[in-house]
Amino acid sequence: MTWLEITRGLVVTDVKQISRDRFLGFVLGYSIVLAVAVRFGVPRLAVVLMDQYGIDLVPYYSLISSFVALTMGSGMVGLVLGFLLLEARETRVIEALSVSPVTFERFLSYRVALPMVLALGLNPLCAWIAGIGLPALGPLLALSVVGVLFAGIATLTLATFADNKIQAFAVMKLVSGTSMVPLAAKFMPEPAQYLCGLFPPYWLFKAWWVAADGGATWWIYAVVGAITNTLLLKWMKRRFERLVHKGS
Amino acid sequence: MLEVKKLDFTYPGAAQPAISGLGFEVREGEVFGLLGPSGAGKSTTQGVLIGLLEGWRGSVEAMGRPLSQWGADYYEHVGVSFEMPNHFLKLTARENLDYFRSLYASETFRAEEVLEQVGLANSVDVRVSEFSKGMKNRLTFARSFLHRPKLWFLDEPTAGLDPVNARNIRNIVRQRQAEGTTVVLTTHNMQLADDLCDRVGFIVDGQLRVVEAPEVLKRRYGRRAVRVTTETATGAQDHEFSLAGLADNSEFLATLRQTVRSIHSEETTLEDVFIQVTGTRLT
Repeated sequence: MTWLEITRGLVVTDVKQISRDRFLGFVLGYSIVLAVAVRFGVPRLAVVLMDQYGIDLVPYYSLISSFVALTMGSGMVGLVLGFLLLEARETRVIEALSVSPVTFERFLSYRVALPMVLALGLNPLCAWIAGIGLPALGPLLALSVVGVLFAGIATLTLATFADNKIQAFAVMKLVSGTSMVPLAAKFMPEPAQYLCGLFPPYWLFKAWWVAADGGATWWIYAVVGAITNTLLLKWMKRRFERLVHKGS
Repeated sequence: MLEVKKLDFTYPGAAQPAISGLGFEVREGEVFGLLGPSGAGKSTTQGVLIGLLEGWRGSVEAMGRPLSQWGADYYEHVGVSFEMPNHFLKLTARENLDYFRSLYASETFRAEEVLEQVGLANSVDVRVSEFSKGMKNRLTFARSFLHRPKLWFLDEPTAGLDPVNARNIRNIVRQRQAEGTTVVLTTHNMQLADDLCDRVGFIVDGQLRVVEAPEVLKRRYGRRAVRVTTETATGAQDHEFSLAGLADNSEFLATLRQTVRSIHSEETTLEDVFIQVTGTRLT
């Protein structure tokens, strides 16, 4: 069987599983709903805040759009497929696939790649829908591409650190919460804000903010983000492999 | 078909090897049983042979090629029925099997065909999450021979099944064997092994103690005798006679003229042989 034929079968199976689970369908659509809410809600909120409290929200538009474009799309699609990976681990389907022409290595590569491929479309779509605080098209697309790494990281984090669906919800909240921590950097002066660089998503947020402000150095942060997020993804993949092999 | 020499495997972090110095051969077209109590090393051995465990030492040759030289194409020829069911629960039985069918380059059975064989014809379009454990086990078994494997690994294939379905499974194994499939059966069910296996290997504490045909073992370790129980005024009396020269044994013939309550051959069971050979009970 060709890799393409095997992938097609896996995609069809995933579509059936997600379509039969309301929660997963809801999570998948959540990033779009949030992007729409940002597009129509944030500018109105900005007007209210300025009129009633004299607070200017506009300088923080890039903060909001970076979160929607780089974390929501990747994070949600990553978590949905993380649920499927966890289920495959829980129900031992991974074992059955491992002794089929799919093999464990192919299945895991597919499972990590799929959320990233979906995020490739979802990230710029969320940015476009949100429509505020965006950088120019070049950096927007480049950062959306690097941002897909977070989708794979979210998938592996959920399937590695949760042993069942109940724990998965806790891990899901942890992933969502942790991904917001680097946003605090926006309120910190340099170089102190580089401490947030311990959280790899920070570098992409930083690149986004710099690009949205018209800065030319955004690509440096993007490269650091690509390297740190790739290292994190590889580390998570090794952890998951060890977990599955230990269980077998 | 399968040749294993000096096979060792130790789980990461374990002090003792799970299997040590294992060596046996599985001939083409036979049903070979690996028998032993829980924790003896049966599943570990199967884990190595089906490519799920890495880091083993020794030599394993399958279908004429070292195991290490096989890639994903190994599974075009190998089928595995796990002891624990493992299915996509949100999919129906048909969808599960159709998905796995789509993975093989070779000709496969249709989902409906194998489901009918294992008695799940009425549950083809039922989601597996609604199946009982026994139904899931039968689905696992059905999936394992969808692609007509040449080498078929069965791990406790009748566990959790009622007698009718267990017999059905045995019949399917015999049928596949008649069509040329080589079977490696892992079980602690001695009756199943005695019924199906051409040869068995007793494994205890990770070591293979003996490999032989069940009949040979039973002859070697059993008593060749017949026990006759007769009615007496006070109850019953047992008489035991050697099978050698039984037709000319006048005492035996005289006993038969009494009121006979029962006659039993004293042939031993495979379980008794296992206990004699290994000194271990099958728990």
